[in-house]
Amino acid sequence: RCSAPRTEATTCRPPFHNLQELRHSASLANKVFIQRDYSEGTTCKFQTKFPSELESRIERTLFEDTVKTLNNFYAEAEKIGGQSYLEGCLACVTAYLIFLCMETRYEKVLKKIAKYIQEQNEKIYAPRGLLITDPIERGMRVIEISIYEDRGSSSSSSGSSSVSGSTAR
Amino acid sequence: KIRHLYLARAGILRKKTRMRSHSRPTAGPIFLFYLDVFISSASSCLTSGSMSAVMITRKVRKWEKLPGKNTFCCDGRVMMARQKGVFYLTMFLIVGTCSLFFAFECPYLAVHLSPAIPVFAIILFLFVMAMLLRTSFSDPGVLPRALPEEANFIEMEIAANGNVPAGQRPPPRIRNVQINNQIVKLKYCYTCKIFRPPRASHCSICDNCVDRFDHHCPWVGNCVGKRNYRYFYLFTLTLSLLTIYIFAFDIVHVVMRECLVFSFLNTLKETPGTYPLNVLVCFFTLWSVVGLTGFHTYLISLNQTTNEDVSAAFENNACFNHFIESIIAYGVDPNRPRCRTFQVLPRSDFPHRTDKNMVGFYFCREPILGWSNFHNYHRAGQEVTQGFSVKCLGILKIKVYCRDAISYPCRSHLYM
Repeated sequence: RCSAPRTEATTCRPPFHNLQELRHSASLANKVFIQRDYSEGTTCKFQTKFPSELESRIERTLFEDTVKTLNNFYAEAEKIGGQSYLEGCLACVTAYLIFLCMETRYEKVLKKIAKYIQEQNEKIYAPRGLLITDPIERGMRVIEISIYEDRGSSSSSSGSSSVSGSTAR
Repeated sequence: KIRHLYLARAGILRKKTRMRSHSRPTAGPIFLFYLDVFISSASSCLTSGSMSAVMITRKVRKWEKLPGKNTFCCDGRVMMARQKGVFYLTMFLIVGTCSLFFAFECPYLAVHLSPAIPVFAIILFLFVMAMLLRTSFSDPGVLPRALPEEANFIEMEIAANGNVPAGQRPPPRIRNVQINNQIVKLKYCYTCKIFRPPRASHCSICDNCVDRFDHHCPWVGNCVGKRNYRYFYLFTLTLSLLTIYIFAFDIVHVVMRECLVFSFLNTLKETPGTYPLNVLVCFFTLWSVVGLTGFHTYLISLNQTTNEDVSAAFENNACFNHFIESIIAYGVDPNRPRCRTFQVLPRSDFPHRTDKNMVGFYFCREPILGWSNFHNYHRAGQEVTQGFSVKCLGILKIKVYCRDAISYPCRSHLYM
């Protein structure tokens, strides 16, 4: 019997302290898909529109920061400049065998993105019962955000009988 | 429950011997199934007495699970289409023609003209082979299919957007997006259950959606898409150069031996195998490959794929980023389906369990699960897991094949 008014931030939600705990004690309730933003061409960019399912889960600014940073990473990866031309010409001349020794710039940025997503998941999203899947796992079409509910709590959105695991790292 | 299973099994065993005497499938046949089982964890529902199965954990590479008609080799490093016959022909033609050139003409030309000629030919040849293998073996940019949750999400979105009155055909699923101030329609792929990104297309031969799909090339044995277009273009370009080179030096060789009229017959006597084959192959290759290179150069300058050119669907190329950037500068994303990464198979891969259809498993002759109703005909060798509900607690992946033909309705156990 709470006399104090319950705000969104104080709904009963168990604190998930890390990703492992999240996976073992929670069950998947829903998934939200952030679509691609094609307004500026076919470069990789995701919409920063805040989905309504996450209203009660995470602050708008945090979410937008994450998506904007991801967009910046992808823009950096796909940037066509001096270095990428040089890399391309060198690769062409050596019949692309040079990529047995070195990594392309794109691969390097992808690794940075993976690390960033892992770090965001650990610090920000898992404590709120959310998990971001790297868009490369989905063919760069969507950013998949899985919403978890604690198995112990009976929430109407978690009653689904389909149990599935997210392939997030 | 376990006792029931045991009794049922005993009963079924009796039926089996009866069936054998009839030697034709009747209602109630029993079958031996081949099980390919991966178990990840035991479940508390299994009673201890019934479970004598071995717990095996296995991580599965993603390429093993990729739907679509691709063949994989070298643990996922090589990805090709299923029909490879024409690819072998291409290899044979290139290697055969070049070896004839090296064997018969290079010695003469190296001595009489310059030793740089065979060296350059070898370099060109190695380049062509490298590009060919790279085109054939690499992933063209396959878009991974939507997982069930995403497919459901899209279905709900579509349902919410329009209600079709009963009796009418639903409109084609199209999503309009604005790209650089032009409206582009994204089509829905019923196989992959996604809205295809702009410039993607579904290849029916490989049964995959491929990003920036150009065409499916049988000569190369693979689709040509975003990720291997540059290799394909370089392949056609260097093959044209190689063909022109060999053709030119064939002619030079003929001219150098004697004067043109007699020399052809003379050299034919001296180097019997070379001319008919070399010249013929080079001649036809010249027209086709050089033509193809020219065509693709034209397409690149227009920023179009072959698919778009053929279907004449895109007048709005201006809104797409240009090809050239991704050909010259290596800015395209690598391994999209991440074929070689590991994936622990999610449980949702299983069809849902209903009470009517439950498959029984026996490991080491111990029953661990319920039993099944078959409701389909199956041919021998056919996989029967599809359409089955599997009450497999902790078992991640099962493929069940039918050893004998099944007729239904029947109730039977599966056992090893």
